[in-house]
Amino acid sequence: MVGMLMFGDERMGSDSKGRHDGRSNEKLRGITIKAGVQGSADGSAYIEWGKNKVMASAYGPRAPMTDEKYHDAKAKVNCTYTMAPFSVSERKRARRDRRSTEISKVLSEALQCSVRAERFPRSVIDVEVLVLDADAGTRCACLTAASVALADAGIPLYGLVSACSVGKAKGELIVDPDLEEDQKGEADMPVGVLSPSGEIVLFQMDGLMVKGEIEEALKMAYKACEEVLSLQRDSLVSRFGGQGLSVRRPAHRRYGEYRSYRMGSARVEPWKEDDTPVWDEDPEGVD
Amino acid sequence: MRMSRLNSPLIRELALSGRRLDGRGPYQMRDLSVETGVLSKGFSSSRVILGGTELIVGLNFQTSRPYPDHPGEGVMHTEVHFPGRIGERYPSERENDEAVELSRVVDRGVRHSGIIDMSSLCIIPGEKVWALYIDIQVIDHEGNIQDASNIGTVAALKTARIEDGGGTDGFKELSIGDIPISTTFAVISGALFLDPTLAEEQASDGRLTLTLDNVGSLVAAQLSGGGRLDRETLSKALEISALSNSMTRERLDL
Amino acid sequence: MSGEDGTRTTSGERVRPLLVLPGDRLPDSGGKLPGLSTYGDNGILFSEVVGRPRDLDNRVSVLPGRGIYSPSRGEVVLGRITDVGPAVWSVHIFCPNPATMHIRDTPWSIELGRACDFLVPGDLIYGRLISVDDLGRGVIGLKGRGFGRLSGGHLLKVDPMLIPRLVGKDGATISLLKELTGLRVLLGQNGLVWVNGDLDRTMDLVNVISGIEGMGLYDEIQERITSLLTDGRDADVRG
Repeated sequence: MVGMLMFGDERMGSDSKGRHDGRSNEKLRGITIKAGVQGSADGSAYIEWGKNKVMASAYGPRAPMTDEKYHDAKAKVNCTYTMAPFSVSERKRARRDRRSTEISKVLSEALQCSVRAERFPRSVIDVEVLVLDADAGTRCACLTAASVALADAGIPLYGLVSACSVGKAKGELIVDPDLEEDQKGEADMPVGVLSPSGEIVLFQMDGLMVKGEIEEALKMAYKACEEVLSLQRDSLVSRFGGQGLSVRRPAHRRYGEYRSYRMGSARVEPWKEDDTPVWDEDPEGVD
Repeated sequence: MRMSRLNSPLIRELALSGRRLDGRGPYQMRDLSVETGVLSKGFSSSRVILGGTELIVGLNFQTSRPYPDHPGEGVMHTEVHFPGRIGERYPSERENDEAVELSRVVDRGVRHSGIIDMSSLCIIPGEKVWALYIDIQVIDHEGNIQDASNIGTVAALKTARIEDGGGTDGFKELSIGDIPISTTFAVISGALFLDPTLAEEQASDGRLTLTLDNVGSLVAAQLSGGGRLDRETLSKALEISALSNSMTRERLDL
Repeated sequence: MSGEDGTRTTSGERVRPLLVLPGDRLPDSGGKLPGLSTYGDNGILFSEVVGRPRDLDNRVSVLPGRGIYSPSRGEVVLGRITDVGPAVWSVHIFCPNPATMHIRDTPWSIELGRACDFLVPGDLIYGRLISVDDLGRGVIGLKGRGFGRLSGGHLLKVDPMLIPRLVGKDGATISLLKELTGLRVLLGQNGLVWVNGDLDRTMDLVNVISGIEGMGLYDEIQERITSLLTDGRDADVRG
């Protein structure tokens, strides 16, 4: 993840849009979040964050299985982070590796802070985050989506968790590094913030950051997380029907007609936004 | 209202008169949507949505040694991946068994239909061949992973590209032969129901999958879930699957 | 109806209320006590869930968009027997906490060790929660009119938030449903619906429930039910 210090010929001024994709240092990649997209989960959210594609599902609370660990006084959040084999360039053979185990743990702990766990003692809440396409910052995308999934499931929360990474490339702090920036960068700091308290519930750093940089990076992270929060909120407002209170609509998608695609051409068609099935966004019976 | 095992008695009672909870006819398929090229990492891919079931298929090629008993042929690996937890089910022995079974049925359909000429995947006989990895990731399970996987695999194969020669820059299309299409039925109260939902699968006595190629030859078959069939029902299933398959082929322009 | 949920102005027009999200601060509670789905202290209350702020029994509450059943003393529930011991049955009431029932809380006189003569795993019961402990574990009783073992019929699971709407004001909605379908219908506050009667009518009811699941709070549910049941099968079932 952290490469060597790069002293390339390209020098970037701190205000220049010098990143390889044209973003300024504070700019996030394009993010879309949709809540309530999976019929088989109690709560779900799908996020596209740059090229990252993550599906988060929440289940529960439920009674623990006989061999499962639980807390006497509160609910336990179990988050499992999994990467699909085709999510990375080199086909991923082992589904559960050490990195996935570590990420699962930090995500579980972060989400645990956000859940009003005393409401359901001795119960278990399962969260699954599945990475379908990875392009750096997956754990932040996962945490962001997982938080929305919990809210979608109606699980009582203190608030939503929003996450974003701040990296360092060529000595400069950059918000939301993508894969190339992460691989060539000198540091990566993912931060997860719980609203409304503003507490940090996910905090990791890989690489090297000097004292002054950490404060600055945190400031940038908070600002980015605010933007992420507003997208999370929008996704839930759409999902629960704008102004009309509806009992949660079944997460059922409608497809107007059969789609047939000409297959067999040599070109791989990119996935166009307007080709995707339409989520049932028009709440029924709400004026 | 999410349908589940709770509704099994109702599903079974309706099945006695050939009816289904969602109002479909016994041989009616749910809405189907297939897209290709949905991943950014250079895998050939497809995304299939069949009713409420959603999955993504990713394919790629890596070089490998051939199997000793087939030195002039490429190698193929198919795997269905379920999310860790689906509804109330847990990653368990039985679930792994199901994933393995599904993978192998898709694999057989692909292999025996001749959709890919395995000998065209040979680079240096006895030493180096292309290995095709087919990964089917289930995103939402609302029944009939089998047919969705099959369609997704076929769609991804049709857009697959393989390097021209062992490792040069050029890519060429994979040469595609006969296309296998599978049809899965749930056996409920002794009757057949095509393209079952998850609740129907849970209420069923078993499932039957029949995979046919372009000319109607059977290239794979599987009876699973503990079902029992009489011969008449099996013949009926063969008949219906031939019809259903040709409809699917037409719709997807295969 | 006006004024009850704070949604009509003095001139009687409808005013759209807020949708709150988890962590949102609730409008000033004016010293009222915290109610359903809220947390906080010192007079500052926040919502735990996505939902609507409501004034319920003089407490500031949030009506969740999506309900997870939390057992409460006195509520009427449908449950399924999962295990039987000498004096106690384990009952699944479709919530995170297990529930039990003791032989003394039934209308039958049962000797110790003979519980299995009356109810066995798989049986459906309709009863009332006599008590709920700190861990959310409920104790069910079957004494009372209409309670007992249910045989036959079909069970449906809906969001618990839908149940009050299916009951309607003074039971008006459920009476309408029963009248129009001719079915025996029992509702559990834990989100379960038991239906017994003609299979076709049962299917109609399934369609009706799916049809009203997505309706807004201020829509006329009874009108919708009547039109769905008398116009025929024009609603498509989701699920």
